[in-house]
Amino acid sequence: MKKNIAMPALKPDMKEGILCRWNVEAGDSVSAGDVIYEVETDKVVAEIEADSSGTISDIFVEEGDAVEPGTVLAQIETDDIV
Amino acid sequence: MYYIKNEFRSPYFNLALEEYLLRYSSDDIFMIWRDSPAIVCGRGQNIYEEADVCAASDEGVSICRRFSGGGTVYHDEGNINYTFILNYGGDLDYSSMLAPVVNALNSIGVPAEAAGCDITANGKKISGNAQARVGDRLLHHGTLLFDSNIDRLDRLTGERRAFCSAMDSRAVKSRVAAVANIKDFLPADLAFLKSEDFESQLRRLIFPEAEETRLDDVTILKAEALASEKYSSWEWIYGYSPRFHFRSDGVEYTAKRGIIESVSSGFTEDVRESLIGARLSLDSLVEAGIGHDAARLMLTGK
Repeated sequence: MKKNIAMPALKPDMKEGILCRWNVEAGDSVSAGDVIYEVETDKVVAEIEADSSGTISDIFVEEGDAVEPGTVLAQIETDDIV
Repeated sequence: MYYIKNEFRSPYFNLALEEYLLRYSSDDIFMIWRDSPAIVCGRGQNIYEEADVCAASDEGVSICRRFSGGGTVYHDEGNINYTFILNYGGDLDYSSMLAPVVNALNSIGVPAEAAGCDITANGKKISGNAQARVGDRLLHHGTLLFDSNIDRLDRLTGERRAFCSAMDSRAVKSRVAAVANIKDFLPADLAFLKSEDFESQLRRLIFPEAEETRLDDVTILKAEALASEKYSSWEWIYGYSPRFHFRSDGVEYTAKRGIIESVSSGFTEDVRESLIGARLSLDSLVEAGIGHDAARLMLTGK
């Protein structure tokens, strides 16, 4: 099943977050809990973990891009059957 | 809340200790510590754009990358660092974290006020702060310039950012701010305070109720291991830099994660080829066949 990975809001009034680093590339398989990317806003860095296991199928946003919360960053083909 | 008086002075160890306590402790921690001279860039920064890496290394100043976001700061024994590591599920916010520090400074007569992520006094920055979050654990830390070498700070970071136009990237940029030492704002009856006196006062002024605890041997060993594997590694300090483009004095190249990807002008074709894949370090560049001066140009833009 394909799932979108979207920019989270690190705080309620966050206008945009910088995707500072991808730890994966398209084609990489990940396990739930792996840190897949890092976001920075207002001098706060957060490591974002995969919430399901699977394979990263597409990456849409480059390192250094500042995007609004909710923007789709990547897609994951999950191992979930449903 | 526990108070840890950390007397280690290695910036690599201290930065590793923060990450270790953030990830593996479950306590609320308040820590005060100092470093030997060091330039410390934010996690998402291009170190080559932020600091004169050659001058720092010539002067014996350590070059480091920290776990949290934000810009580049300078540490030395005249700068006191404070850290809060908290179980904190709430919204990210600087003002509530800065308030106890601002109050502590006000109580000894320093006209400190919170200004975004910074603390200023009479408009000059005296403290830079940053945060990182792992799950529901929050790291908030900051510098307190008490009696720091401001000339060196400006020379190795501030001035450099002002003139370094050779590099272009989308990395997180530092804001250049006019900085000052807290010592200069102390009332006359406290003007004798030394950095170590200020350091020991801070604990009482910021969190008097925190229970003092010592670092146990396991924590020290784990933090030492993290310092040697990660915080003092080339891959973390330099190799974490995002992609950037360099153009100066007829040399043009692109590097990603500290490794040269392409060289589009300068040098002979053979040298250009041998530079591809080389690390951006003085030794690797010289080994790839260019002179010291050219290597310094590639690392610093001058």
